[in-house]
Amino acid sequence: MSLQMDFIPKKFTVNLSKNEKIQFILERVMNDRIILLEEGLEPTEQLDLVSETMKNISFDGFTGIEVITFNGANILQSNRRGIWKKKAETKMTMIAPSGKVSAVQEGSDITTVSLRV
Amino acid sequence: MQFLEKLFGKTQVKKASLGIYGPPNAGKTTLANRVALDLVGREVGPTSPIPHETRTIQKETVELNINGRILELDLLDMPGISTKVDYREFVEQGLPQDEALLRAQEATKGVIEAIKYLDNVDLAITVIDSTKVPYDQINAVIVGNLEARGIPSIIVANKIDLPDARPELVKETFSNHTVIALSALKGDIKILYDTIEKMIK
Repeated sequence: MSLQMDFIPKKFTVNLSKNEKIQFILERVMNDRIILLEEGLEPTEQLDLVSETMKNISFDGFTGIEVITFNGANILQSNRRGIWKKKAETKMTMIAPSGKVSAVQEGSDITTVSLRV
Repeated sequence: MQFLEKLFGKTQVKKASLGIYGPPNAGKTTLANRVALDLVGREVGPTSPIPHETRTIQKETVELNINGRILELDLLDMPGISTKVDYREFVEQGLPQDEALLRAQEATKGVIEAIKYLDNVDLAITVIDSTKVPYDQINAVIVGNLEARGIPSIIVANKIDLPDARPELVKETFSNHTVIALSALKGDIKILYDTIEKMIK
């Protein structure tokens, strides 16, 4: 048995509303796929995703999701005066069917994800 | 009116709602019970080693006396927030199948109810089990959502009475937040009252 992972680029999710994004994610994860979003979910989006997940749990099938966020480097951006400022962190989010992945963080930099097929 | 209150010594009363959030089995109800026992002499609800014991919001009104000012707190013990609910886990922990199924069904509704109620709390506590790794996604989601809504919040690194507890790791993970370490089950929780007092001012 194999697991499929979909890498979803930012150029795709940027055109989706919050609800569309959540429905898109859930449809795929409920079909046993792992999603990796180039543009990570905000905490408010993640909480809405949790709510929608709860509405879709069926006790002989879909039992929920695993969410893993990978924090990347802080982006430095300069303003018009040429002053460099730290902007939001870049991050990616992985969403998988419950029990299919687990993550272990090694120190502050490396995250190891174990897949269960 | 304030003059009359001063004259007759009437105590000022301030009201606020305090939501206790966190993942299942972090010790939310144990903490709520501890506060309620301290302040009104009764517990808020039962606790259990099986997750999702609290599946509806439990409320108790308590009063904190802060230098003569009364703070009336609606203490709200929330169902645990989780990304998954599987009745088979409850069966493995000894529940009969029909009870496990009902518990799972009620647990999903409880998670939704707790999330919806986030917009109605004035102050929040996020309870984290300090014997587990603190960077569990659900902790970050709860803390991030409280921050996004501008709700003042306290992170409680709980269960410090246990040998595996690493409250320093919780403090390190949430270094930009107010984190206090305590055991809701054993030990002093005065630090919690002092922190609430500072935040309500």
